[in-house]
Amino acid sequence: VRTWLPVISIALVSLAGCQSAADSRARQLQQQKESWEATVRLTTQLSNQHVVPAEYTQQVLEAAAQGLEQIRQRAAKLSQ
Amino acid sequence: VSKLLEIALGLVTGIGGFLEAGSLATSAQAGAAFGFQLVWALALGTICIAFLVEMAGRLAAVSKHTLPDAMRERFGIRFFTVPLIAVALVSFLVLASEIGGVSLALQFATGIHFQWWAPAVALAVWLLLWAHNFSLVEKGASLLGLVTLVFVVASFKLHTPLSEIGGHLLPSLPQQYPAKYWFMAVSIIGASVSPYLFYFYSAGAIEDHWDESYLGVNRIIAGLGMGFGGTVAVAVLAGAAMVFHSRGIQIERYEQIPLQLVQPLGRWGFILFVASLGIACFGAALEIALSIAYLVAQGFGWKWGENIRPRDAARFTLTYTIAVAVAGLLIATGLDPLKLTIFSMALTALSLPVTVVPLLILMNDSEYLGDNVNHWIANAAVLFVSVLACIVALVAIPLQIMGS
Repeated sequence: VRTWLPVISIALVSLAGCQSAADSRARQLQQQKESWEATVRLTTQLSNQHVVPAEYTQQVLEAAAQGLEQIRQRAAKLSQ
Repeated sequence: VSKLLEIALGLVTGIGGFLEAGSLATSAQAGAAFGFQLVWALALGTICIAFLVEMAGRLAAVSKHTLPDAMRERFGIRFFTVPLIAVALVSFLVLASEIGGVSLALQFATGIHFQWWAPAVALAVWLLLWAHNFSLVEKGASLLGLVTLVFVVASFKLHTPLSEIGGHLLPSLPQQYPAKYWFMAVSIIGASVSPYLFYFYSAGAIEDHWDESYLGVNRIIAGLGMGFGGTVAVAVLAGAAMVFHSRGIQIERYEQIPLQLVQPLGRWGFILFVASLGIACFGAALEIALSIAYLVAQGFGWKWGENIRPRDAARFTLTYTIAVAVAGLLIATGLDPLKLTIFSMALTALSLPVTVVPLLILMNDSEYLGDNVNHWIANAAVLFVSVLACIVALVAIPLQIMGS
């Protein structure tokens, strides 16, 4: 048991480290998702007030769609 | 009267020329992600660049040497190759970022994707360099660059609490995402202390025939000009903190940044953002392209000068032609300008000791400066910021790359 103890400890610490890194990554992805949703809300609100051109609104919405798609792909990879 | 005019023009250059793709993107991203917490990095970078610009001007005025010229003479061509490659490489990446910034401004205005604009922007930069003289390039771009003061106006309209800015002048540890925090900090310092700024300034002092009577003018321009310029960058960070951080918005793409002026200023906010981004980046692109050509031509002892006809300084002209063309092509491939900008700024911070230490050695050499050698405070301040930024960059860049 004494021989295996360091190996088991290292494995447990590594597992916990990986788990914590995965948790942190998932939290980061959630924040990025919320960030894009808030961007869309702000842009839509300003667009409704007619203070930004329609072309620009479209550019932000396209960027948000691409950003959200990247987050979805990363989240899918993370859950595998 | 001519000295007063020189000071006024120098201050305009400092204010109008400070903001460019790097400082705009890093300040906006930092304000959005960490609120006012990274104001200290901007303050540190501004103090450091003020010292460096003053040194470059003093070296030119007293020794009549530009920076690369003095470096090659003092250290020999073999040693000089190291800072030459480092400065040329980071300046080239920053040049590409600036062309990307102008192209994005045109994308916002027209809806046509930025990569289609890149060749046209590169051509416009080259044409202006080919056809005009140094003063017009420097002063014209900076005068138009005063439009960036709109960020200060927006900051006031947003009722930015000055106590928040003052309270973060000293560094503090981040509550979350330490790798991103330190990466942003070095990117901000890299954006503020871009080597092209003091290389360009030293060449400008020679082109304008400065002598020792300009030392006072030089000190005022470096101190006040960079100080006011830094204030504009703080206003960008503050605006991003007020508009984005409070809503949980992080800056992932350039497309998000105009919102920070539209929210407080409405329709004019959008127009002035597009003008600020376009003009500031275009002015910086002109200066960086010239700066690369100055560096190479002065380093190798070629004939140089924006005030002489292109055919009379053919190798100098060829250098900026190649730099502008390749940078334009890089953006035309569709490379993300925001990622390129942030990465270039971090690399700039990493290369600071290589670019700054030779300057410090020169500034303490009485053969070049006579009685005007550096005070120990200037040496200590610049060395501290450069080495600190480099060490933090060494740790933060790999962590950030692995994290993303």
